Amino acid sequence: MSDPKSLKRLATGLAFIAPNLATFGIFTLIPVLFTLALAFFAWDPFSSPTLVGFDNFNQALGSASFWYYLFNTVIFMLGLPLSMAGSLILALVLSQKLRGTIAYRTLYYLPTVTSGVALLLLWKMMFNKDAGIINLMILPVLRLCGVTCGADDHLIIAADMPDWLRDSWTILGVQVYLAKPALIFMGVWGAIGGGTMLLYLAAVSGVPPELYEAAEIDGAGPWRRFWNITWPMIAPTTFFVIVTGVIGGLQGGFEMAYLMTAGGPEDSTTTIGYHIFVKAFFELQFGYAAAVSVILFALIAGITALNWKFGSKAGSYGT
Amino acid sequence: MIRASGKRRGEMSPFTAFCCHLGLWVVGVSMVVPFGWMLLTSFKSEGEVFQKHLLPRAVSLGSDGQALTTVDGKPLFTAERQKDAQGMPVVGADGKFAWKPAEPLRVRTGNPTMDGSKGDHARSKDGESLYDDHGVPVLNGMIQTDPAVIAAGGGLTRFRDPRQIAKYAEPVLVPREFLAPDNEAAAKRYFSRFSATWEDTVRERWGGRLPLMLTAAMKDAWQGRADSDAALEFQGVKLIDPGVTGRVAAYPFKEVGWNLIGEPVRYLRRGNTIVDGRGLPIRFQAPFPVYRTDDDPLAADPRGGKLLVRVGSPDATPGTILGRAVATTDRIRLVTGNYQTVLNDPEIKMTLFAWNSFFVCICTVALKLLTSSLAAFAFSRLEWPGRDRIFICYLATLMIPGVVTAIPNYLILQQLGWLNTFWALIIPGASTAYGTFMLRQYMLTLPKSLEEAARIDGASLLRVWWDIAVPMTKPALITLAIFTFAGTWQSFSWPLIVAPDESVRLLPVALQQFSEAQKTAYNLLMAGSVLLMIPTLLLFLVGQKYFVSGIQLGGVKG
Repeated sequence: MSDPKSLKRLATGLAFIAPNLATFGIFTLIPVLFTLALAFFAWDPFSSPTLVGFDNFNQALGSASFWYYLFNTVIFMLGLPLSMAGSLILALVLSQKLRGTIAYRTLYYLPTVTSGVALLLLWKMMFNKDAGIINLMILPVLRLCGVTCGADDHLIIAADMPDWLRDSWTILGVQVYLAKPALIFMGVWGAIGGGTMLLYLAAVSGVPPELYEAAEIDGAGPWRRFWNITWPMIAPTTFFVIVTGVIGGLQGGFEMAYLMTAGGPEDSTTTIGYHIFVKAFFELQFGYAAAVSVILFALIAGITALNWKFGSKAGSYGT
Repeated sequence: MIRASGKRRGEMSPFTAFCCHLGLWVVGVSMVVPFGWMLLTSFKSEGEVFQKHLLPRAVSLGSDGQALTTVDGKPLFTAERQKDAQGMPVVGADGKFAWKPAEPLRVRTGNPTMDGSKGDHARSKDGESLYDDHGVPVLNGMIQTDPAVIAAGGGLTRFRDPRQIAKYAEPVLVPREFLAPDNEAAAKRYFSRFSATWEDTVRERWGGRLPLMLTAAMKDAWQGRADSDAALEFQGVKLIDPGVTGRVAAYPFKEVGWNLIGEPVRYLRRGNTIVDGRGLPIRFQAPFPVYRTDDDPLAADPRGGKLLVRVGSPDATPGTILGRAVATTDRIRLVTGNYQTVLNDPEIKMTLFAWNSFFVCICTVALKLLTSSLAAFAFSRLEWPGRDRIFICYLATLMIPGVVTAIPNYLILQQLGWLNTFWALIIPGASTAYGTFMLRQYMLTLPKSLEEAARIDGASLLRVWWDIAVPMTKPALITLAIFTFAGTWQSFSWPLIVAPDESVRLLPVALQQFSEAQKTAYNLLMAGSVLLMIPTLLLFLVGQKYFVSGIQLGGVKG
């Protein structure tokens, strides 16, 4: 380090990364530390921050709503295995070199390209009770099944159709909000043909064909070939998808809740991510929100660490 | 049937191939249906969006056979007008239309589809909805809450807040006699039935603005311009044709409503051409209440070239047709009407927000490419102490969730005074660990020899970066640019929080706020959404291979 040449090298290297490092430091590194500190303060914009120790954490962990939001978040993450399975199946079928593969791939990728506000608003409208296409498609089916309503013998009135984002049904004594499955369905629809499918497509076509040939000579059927060759060979991709999916899923849900349900009905679509945003930017309780985000961060870090541990085993298992 | 090998095309049985195709096709259709529906909706009028399919029979039908809806598209539970054998409305002894409740009144608990926040039906004690003399449902919160009136099961709908008129009140058709020279007297006479004084009427019905009424002099002036294209302007309404003097409605309401006698009123959009019986074009600058007649063969296709219209009047004897006009609707305009509304409406300011979005996207892309490329060059092509350790730190930050940094970032921007400026939108996104990583991986694969040759020729490091590294990493740079552009174009939560002001508002935020304001103008909303989607969609179609390679690069090597 002491010789001038390496010092000069260091200076050059730092100079090249300086623009990156500056914004990066200010808007990523400092904020992380800032959040950690903020979590121990009570801070709203109208008074000076006061140190409150673990109060914020206690408040969060001690409230039933926090755990309910966490539960919601986890429920919404149920879409991850579903969409992964769908993506994998699509990737396997697409890798068969059928006619029109590229067109299908482009089509499936559409929701990913157009994601965001427009798509969420589109789905909000599709779930609409009176004019949404979901109910419009269900209605003929119900009529075919002979479902009728009240005194009216051939019409089902709008009031009896489900309002997907607002209603709840009581099934076996449990109140189930329709918004949850509806939004999970929406998520799976959007994710099934997106990046995950492309990753699987690359992984599947990267499996050496000799393996399959050898397996076939040994008399392995397609099912066996999948479980014993394809699945272990694409394990790194699965692992990657799970890690990124969990990280994204745990902090997600803000846009969906904000644009479509406002977290309702009765908080049933409020995720931790939405909770943090609402607390921080709409209720301006920065300290509390920071504490919740620290908890979330710890959760993400913990699960990711578990993933690594478990995932590296699964990876070595196959290869 | 899943087969993992890509090489055995010859062995796939036709049945398996068929199943695969069928599956792919079904998924493909499910991907397309929402978008197709979105496109379709964006071409409809607001009334069309909420029509037919789900409307119950308890919703009374207007004379054109279509269900009455409230202005915001909800079905209207209302009474039915009594009709005689010829289907003509029955006039009661008091000279008003006779009404009977739509039987049996299926408004079990008031109106289940009415949103309480917007004014539920007023209900009588036995739970039935109340209607005023005209069969218009009485809405809570918007009537004079005189208990006696409510207990009587009726009462006129009186709007206390003029702004609510635009939302709920019936469009006012100005009766023919208003066009007489003494029109003001006639108007006063007419409206005296509704309010105590003329001033009350003006205030309650039109928010203090007078409706369009033509004086004899104006009428003459109008007549003189029969063949010219010039318009007569009065109270913000332009009219051209003398043939329509009897059918003027002046108040610019929204698209679907009902008039004083409870008939549905549909407006043609601004810019539609209506010609009268003589084929002279009538151009209305303001929305013009008009609805189809039920016996009109041409009415079957509202988008077709012609549309027969009938204009009602609140004072007309039932069944009277005040005038007939054949409206030729300019097809193109009608189809693109929603788009034009969204683009041109001064309230929506779509164009301004689109420029904001473009500006922010371009700046972010440029900065991100610059910073990441420089850093990637340092991480891959230069040897310096501590390089790899710093790089690992970079990679580790990929794990930091955005939610964690959002709060401090907001506070930092607040301290810098950057909230509601373009800085807040551009600078925090100016560097990217992911992009740096991607470019580094790409640069590692470049041959060293070129660079060494350049160094021997005495080129500076910056020159080497610019002349060799940048051109050779072009595919990766394009990939990064496309991803950055698409991501920035769609970003919503961060702009919503740090830059909600109109001067710096981005398109997604604008669209969301538009949707809040419009609630059920889904046709406009979808038109806006389609416009929002177009740039990223084009980008994807043009740079598809970069999208695919970018994703696979990030995943496989990561």
